[in-house]
Amino acid sequence: MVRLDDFLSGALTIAVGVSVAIAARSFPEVPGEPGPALFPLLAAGGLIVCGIALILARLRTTVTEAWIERPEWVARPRAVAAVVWIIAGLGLSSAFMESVGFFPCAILLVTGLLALLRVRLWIAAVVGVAAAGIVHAIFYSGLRVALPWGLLEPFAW
Amino acid sequence: MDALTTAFGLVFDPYVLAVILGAGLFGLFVGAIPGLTATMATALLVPVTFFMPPVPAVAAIVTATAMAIFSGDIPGALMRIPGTPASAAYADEAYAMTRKGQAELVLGAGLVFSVIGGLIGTTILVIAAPSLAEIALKFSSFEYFWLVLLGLTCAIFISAGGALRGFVSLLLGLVIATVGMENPAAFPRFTFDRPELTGGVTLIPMLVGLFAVSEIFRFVVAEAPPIMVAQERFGSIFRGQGKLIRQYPMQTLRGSLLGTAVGALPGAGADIAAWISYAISKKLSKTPEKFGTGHVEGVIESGAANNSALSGAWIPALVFGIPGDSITAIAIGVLYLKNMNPGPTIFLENPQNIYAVFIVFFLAQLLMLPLGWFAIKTYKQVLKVPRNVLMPLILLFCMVGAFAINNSVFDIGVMLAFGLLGWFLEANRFPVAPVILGAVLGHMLEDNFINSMIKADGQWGAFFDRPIAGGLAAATFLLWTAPLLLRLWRRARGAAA
Amino acid sequence: MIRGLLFRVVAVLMCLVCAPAVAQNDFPNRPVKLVVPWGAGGGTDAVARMLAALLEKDLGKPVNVVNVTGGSGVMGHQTIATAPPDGYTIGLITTEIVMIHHQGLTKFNGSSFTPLGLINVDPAAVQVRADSPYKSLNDLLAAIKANPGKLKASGTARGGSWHLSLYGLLKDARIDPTTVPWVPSVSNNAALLDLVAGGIDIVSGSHPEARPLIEAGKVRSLAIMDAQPSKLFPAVPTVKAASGSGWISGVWRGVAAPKGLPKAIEERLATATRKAWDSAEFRQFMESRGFGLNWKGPKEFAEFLAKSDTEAGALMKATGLAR
Repeated sequence: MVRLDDFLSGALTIAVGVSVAIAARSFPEVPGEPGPALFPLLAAGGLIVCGIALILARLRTTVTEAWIERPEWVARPRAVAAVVWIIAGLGLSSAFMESVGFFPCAILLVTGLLALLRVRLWIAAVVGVAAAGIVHAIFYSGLRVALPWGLLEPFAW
Repeated sequence: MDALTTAFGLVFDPYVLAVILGAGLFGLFVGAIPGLTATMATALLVPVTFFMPPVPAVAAIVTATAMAIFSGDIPGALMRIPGTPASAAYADEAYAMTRKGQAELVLGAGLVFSVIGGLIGTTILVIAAPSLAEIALKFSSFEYFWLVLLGLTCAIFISAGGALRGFVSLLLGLVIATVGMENPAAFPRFTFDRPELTGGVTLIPMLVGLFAVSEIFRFVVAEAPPIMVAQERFGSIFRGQGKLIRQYPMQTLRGSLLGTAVGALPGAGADIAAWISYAISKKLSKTPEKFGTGHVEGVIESGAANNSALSGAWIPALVFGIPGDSITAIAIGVLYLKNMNPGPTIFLENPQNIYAVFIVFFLAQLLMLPLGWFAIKTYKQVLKVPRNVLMPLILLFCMVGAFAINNSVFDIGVMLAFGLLGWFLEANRFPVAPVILGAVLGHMLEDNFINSMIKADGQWGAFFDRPIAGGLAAATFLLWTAPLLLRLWRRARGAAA
Repeated sequence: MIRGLLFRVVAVLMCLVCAPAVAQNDFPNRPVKLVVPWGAGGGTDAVARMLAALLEKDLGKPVNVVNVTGGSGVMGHQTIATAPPDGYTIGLITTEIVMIHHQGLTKFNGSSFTPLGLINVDPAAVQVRADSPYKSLNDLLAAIKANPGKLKASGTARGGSWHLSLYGLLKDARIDPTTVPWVPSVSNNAALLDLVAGGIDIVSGSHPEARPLIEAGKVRSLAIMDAQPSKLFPAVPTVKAASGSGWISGVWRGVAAPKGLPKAIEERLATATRKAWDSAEFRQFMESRGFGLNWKGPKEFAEFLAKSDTEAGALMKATGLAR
């Protein structure tokens, strides 16, 4: 993951605080109560103060590192592919698992990641299918979690 | 005495013992799966208990929850994935020990001190339930406000990357806690027009994302994937535990007492007990610098605390029918169903039933030793699976666990977002544990503050008027100013000498 | 070989297309989801789990309780209303469905569902601390009139059903509801605790919820907002008997499916619900918890929904809780 110089992390902390504060200012007031804006504003204020403190602490040291340190793994396609696979896999599952169903999502997620982690493809596929089946048996049949069937709805049990 | 004999008869019946054993195995299993909580284990048991007599019905719940809270420690220690929120406080510490090759020591300590904590908590439940429950009933929003503030102060002490960075994480957690409409004004904040966010950010996907998914990200980008567990060979988990008991008797007792007390407060539970205990342990330790590097002391104290909190939660539940946590909330329903109506009279009418429940409490703790040993032995097989095969499987469990808590695919996205956030924070030396604590306590802090202000018509004095509130306020201020006072005192002594 | 494969693919696709049609004849041929808009462990959840166990016996397929929480019941009700109307998703809808759309939290209301049966109503009641000077509802109302703004009340979140019940009672007694500030609470239990701890003065909520503390002598119930006293505490008078006001209010739970459910499936599910409701197990469960047993079939339930919706809307506008 990218590593930021404390100057930048401080600035980022301030930015988060400021955006929370701006959003919170539009919250309505409630007569006779402190209102829903108070706590977000307090937290935002805290973030801004901490951000300033981070920057001040940083100013007292001398610069030795790059401002943004690029992680070394971006040079390795396989590592990048694995990260993208996890993000895309979970992101797409979040968006489409209801309609596509648990099995395709789970099998693809596991098989693909296994393959990217240098497991032979046929083993990856077998493990993927078996894992999806076992997890489904535990959660759906055993613990009665309503894992979506999606496309496989007509074959549901 | 007669009732006690009857009670023993009720418990030591083959059917009841079989139920206890089954529920114990079930609780171990559920607790060890990231994303499935002890509450969920209990809810799943409810329909089964409908068809049981009173004693086995309550026994099933008592046993399953005790086991689930303990077994949450196992994936926390072995894979840095806390199985339940109550294990999150010391998951990092336990994992650090595993990496140092002390997996069996930390797991054994988790087990043994869970049992001791549970036994102490149960003893207090049996002896002092009515009087403790009376005290718990004196807690109004003013007292809870100070208690939560005390808990948050603790978070600053335990943060690994220095107080400032810990504070940033904590504030992030507090901001996350404001999401949704479950605030005193019932106004939807930061929901971005997503109905899923009206209920706030769900804790479990957040927890799994911050701890587990971030760990998976780190693994897949590592050049030579780090060995997750330094050791393949597992010694006996009980070796060295006797020495630990002799070495840390105060810590054990303190954790158990605090756990019982916090558990008995209806507004707090096992997770908060574990956090506060861990912080106290570090604060009062002779070697606070070792905390965070794989030091068993904090695991002992907070491990004892979260199990004793379970027993503590039964104090107001049995005496006043007030649930101490979400688990006892379900259990109270079962008690009513079985005509064991909670209330002061529960000790007078049908005392054999309540004695039987107490016996089950002790039995469940003792049963945890063999069953826990068995669970650890089974679970460690996981470590024999090559890491590049294990990690995708963990990811699958995380995904299903995040979904299962609310049956919502949206939570898978939440887990992913927090996975990325956790990865980013740790790469930049911001600790992730305070984020969880902020998110857990943020609601309580705000609710109790706003409610207190409404009740007091905006008068600040009300926060100090009530005796317990005043005491807690004093403790909080003392904790804040302690470092300063200590320095002044040392200087004064230095000047005198 | 290829033709064989093609044939199989076509066969599978045909199954996919025809499935809904087939499903109507032998409903149900797979598990049914019972969505609960509230968390595992609460009263509604317990009722749902009991009901599910009984429906399962009758339908012959698993009936799985699915908790979909968040936003004062918005998420769960929305999940039921937007599910495919095939009978495989039903849910327990609660009082909040006639309220949350007046607050602008959702576009769904009672008419977004196919009602199958109302199963329970728990009337609201007024609770005070046992050592408080208010021995009757009139004492309390007089104290509120004498000291506007001094007595604080709680029982649920702001704008929740118990909040509405109390404000309705006050309005009916010609007292400005805003003279009793509402302290929001996460649950009725939390409010009762705060009452006993001396933080607030009045709790609006049901008798089953207050039961342990009433029985423990910590809380006194002054009146129940129903036509007759409750079975649990028959000595507690109705609001009518205590103060002359005819105000009636409470929470209810009912089984419903998404709108547009085929008639045959609707009848199957309504019969199954009625059968479960009639069973000795269900009655024993509800009575042991102190929950009221009320029944309204699909038609009366629909009328009830429409009527409560209008009432809630009017009251919420009058008390400034609607948005």
